[in-house]
Amino acid sequence: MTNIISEHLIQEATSDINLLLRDLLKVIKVLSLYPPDNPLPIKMRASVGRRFIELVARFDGLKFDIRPGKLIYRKEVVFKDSSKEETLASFFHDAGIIVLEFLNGLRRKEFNSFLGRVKDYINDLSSDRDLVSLLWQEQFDHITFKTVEDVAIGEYDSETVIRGLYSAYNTGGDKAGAVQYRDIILDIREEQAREAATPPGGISTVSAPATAEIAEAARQTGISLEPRPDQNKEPELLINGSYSLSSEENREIRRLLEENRYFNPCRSAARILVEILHLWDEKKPFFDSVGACEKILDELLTAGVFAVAADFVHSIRCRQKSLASTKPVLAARLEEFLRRAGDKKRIEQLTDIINLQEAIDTGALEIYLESLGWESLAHITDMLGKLVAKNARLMVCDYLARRSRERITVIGKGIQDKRWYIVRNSVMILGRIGGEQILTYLEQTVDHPDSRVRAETIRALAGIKSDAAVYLLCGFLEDGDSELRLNCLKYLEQVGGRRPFENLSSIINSEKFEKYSMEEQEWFLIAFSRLGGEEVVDYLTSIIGTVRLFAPAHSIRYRLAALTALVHNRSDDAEKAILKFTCSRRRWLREAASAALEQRRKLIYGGGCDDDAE
Amino acid sequence: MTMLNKSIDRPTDREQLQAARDMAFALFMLIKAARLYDTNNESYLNRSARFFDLLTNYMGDHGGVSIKVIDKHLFVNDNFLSVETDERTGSEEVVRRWAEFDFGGIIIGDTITPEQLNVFVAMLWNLDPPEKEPREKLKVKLAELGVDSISLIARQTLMDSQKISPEDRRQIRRQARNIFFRALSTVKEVLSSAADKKHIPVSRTRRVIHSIIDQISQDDAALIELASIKDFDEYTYAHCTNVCIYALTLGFRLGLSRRELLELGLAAIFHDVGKAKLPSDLINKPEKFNEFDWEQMRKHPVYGAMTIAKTMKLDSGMARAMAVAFEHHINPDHSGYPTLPDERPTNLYSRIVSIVDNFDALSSGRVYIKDPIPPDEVMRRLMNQMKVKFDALLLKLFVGVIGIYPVGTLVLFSNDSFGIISRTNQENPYRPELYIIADREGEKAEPILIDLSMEENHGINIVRIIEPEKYGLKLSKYILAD
Repeated sequence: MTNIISEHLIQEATSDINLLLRDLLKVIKVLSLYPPDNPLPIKMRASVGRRFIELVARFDGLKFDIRPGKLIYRKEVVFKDSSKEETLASFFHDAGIIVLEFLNGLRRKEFNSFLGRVKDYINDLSSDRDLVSLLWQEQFDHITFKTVEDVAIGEYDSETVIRGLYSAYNTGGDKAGAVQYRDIILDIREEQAREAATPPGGISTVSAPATAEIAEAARQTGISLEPRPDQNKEPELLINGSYSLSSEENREIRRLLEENRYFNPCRSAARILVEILHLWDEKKPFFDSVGACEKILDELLTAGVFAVAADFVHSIRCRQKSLASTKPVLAARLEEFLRRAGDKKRIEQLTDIINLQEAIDTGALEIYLESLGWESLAHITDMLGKLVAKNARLMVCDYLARRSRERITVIGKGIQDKRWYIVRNSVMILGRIGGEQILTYLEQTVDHPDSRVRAETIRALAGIKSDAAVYLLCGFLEDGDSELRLNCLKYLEQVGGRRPFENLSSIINSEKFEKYSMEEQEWFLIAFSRLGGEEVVDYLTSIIGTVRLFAPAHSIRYRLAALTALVHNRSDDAEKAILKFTCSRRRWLREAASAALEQRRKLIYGGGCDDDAE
Repeated sequence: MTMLNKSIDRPTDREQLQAARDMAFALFMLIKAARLYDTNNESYLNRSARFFDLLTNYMGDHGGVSIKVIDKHLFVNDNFLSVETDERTGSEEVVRRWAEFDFGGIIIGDTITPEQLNVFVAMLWNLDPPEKEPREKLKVKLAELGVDSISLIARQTLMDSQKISPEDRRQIRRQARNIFFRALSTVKEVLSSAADKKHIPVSRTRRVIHSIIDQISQDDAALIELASIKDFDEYTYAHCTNVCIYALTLGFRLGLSRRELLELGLAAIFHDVGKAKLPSDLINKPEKFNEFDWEQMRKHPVYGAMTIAKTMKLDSGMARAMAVAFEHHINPDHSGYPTLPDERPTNLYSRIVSIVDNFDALSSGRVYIKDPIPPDEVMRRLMNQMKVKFDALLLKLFVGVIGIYPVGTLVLFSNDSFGIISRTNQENPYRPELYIIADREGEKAEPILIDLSMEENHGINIVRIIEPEKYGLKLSKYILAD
């Protein structure tokens, strides 16, 4: 009966503990996801905390043995990791903890601190994260743990070492047989007598005689062999005559501690390696040091400290220059380092690192890229296609535009790439570089099969103020993609000039124009009107005024579109033409013309935006 | 040396320390004000309000509060708080009055009210301390007047607070020995791994340092005593362990947080890892070094930094270790080695390790000089080179940590007995605690523990420090015994 009862109690305990541990896992997850002042995790933590402390008190402590995937309490498995999401046991086990004990008397503050450190550990992605040290730092009174390292360290049997040492001492014995303490005392008295008899700076007047003579010599010279009272004092050992610190010294200590807190591990490591490069003259240790520099650079980039990485590369570049004439072999090795700093593999690695970061310090990243040589430009261009964050892509574009002005061919190579995004990126950068020098490249992309490349080409051409660019831009008025056509239209209006107008005229009068959507036709007419000025008024008027029997609906719309186009025409003739239509016999035309007139006047005199039309 | 560490929680939160300090001094100011003003006076009431504000905030985290002064050292809830001289002066009057009533501090419960505190401070100044049992009489009086939230703490000296039973002492020594030798073994593994370019067991090293720091916070004397043993065969490993222990003790005194201490301990253990790259016959050469030997030896800081850079992941601990390995032989005046291209200040931890490294090396007489030097002479030499070779303030702190008669030193007394220092006395460095191991008749069957600060021992003085090697004495058998 007793066995049945105790078995029942054990089962109940296991069940209670299991439930609590599941809730603990939930709290841990919620804490790591939500900001600290969010009420949900605060409430959950308070609830689980209260139950946890109660359970600890109820069982007079909870001690868990932690195995991979399991938490064991009194030889019973009370929790099993059931999936990738439910990994409480593995979490602690992977951190090196194999026993975790909560003692009776556990306080709420301790429990909350425990969860806080667990959360810090989860959210810390740095390489030095160590849950054991985080928990140890808290100095819990009611939470203890044991780690795998404790087991390993425990294997060093200190008592055996000590016994071994002890027996060695015992068998070796003291020097020259048993220690004669009396002889030591006499020896010391002799020494004291010599010291007492020695005038300051002088040589001892008492040689090292046998014991009996000491007393006689001392008696004759009137020197006492008793220790002098002041012989106990060692004033020169004490600074300021006391151990206590002055206020100034206390303040200095606080300043030291404060300064110590600002230690930057990345900067320190990088600086030391650069200093080491100044110390070696021999090839092997120097090359060894450069190897260490490469490893550290990797780690700096992985940590996302791009500004530090940039300084590091810059310092090494300076060192390379200083060695170039005197130690070319060493300089060559540094040159190799610098080349590798921006090689394809390193840039790919950098791209992956950037894509993993939640917030990118584009300023620091830019500084790092600036530290690389021009050989990296091509690889950095490749980067653009893989960067996820828009702000990073824009920054890289600007950087490449700046750096590539003198080396435009490097970017130009990208135009031939088979990957559309590489071509697009290259066009983007060329567009930022600008100038007629890029036209030879853009000529190659006006017919690119991918519309995204052609769109970028339009943007690039729009920035170039030259007839050749306008010529190429006009070609897009007949692009197969209507969005691109309209885009182009927008830029051509801004550019203005005869050629765009003539191209528009030609298109409007062509058969393919009728295949454009009505909306597009409207936009074309508007642009035509804006560019043409009074020259096109008659043409538009003729469209509006043309009557067709059995006209399909769209032709009325087309006439209305032409009317709208007149609205956007700034010439006086356009106004007169619209006025005329306000007297039309057709009511729809009269009304439309009145509305058009009002709209036009707002546009021209009333500050309305041309684009607000329609 | 250990007085300020024993049984003390080391808060990791500096804001808590500041809150405790503010609250304690607000109490002292309030009590002083009660001497001058009536408890209804505005000045007094303002100070009372301020104190209660600070007390309420502090109690929120801690429950009740104890404030006590032991030998001019302020403790709040058993946490030692360093105070500046002018702050101490401000509280002295209050502490003197407490002493007249034979108590050294008070415990304030969480049911305290301003009225109860007013009664207490009024009693303190208005009552004449009776000759007999003043503390008890004050207690009774306070109870009569309904003050049940304030208890009086008996006066203590720091030496009193150190009193531990012989069995506890044995237990602490055993524990310290375990920690020391496990540290030694771990250091051996670490340095061997570094020499063989294998993976360095950093987690295990951290764990060992945890235990060293915990031991120091409980009682650093036992570890310092073990560090004083200088005749291990495997000197390099013992040296790194000793440097770690001394550095952590100094870091503790400095007020480093636990995390900072952990990094310091790691850096101290790795400070000579560069020697793994030097020929072993150079390291163990019994004769004095020639110029070529020194040239090789001067490379070990660079080798050390390189080894750490190449074998450990870049993190705060690793970077500190790298800095210490590289800088620990660079002097404040930028002499020393290696020579930096630009003069720049060295890391705090490097300066700490520089001092303790020199101390241990000179005391051991194994590497840089071939004959060991007694600890007092080592201290003299270090101080003579102060400012040139070492950070003056850190050295002063270290002198305070180690004392005039460092733990493990063999001394001769005026009554012709021999003792080994087991614990220093910061209040009076000439009156430490020690084990009498022999007299002119010979070795004692059992060492006898005596405390020179006790009145009955005031007639006994230390005459001289003895160099055990000169007389073939092996102190380690005493230090290693229970």
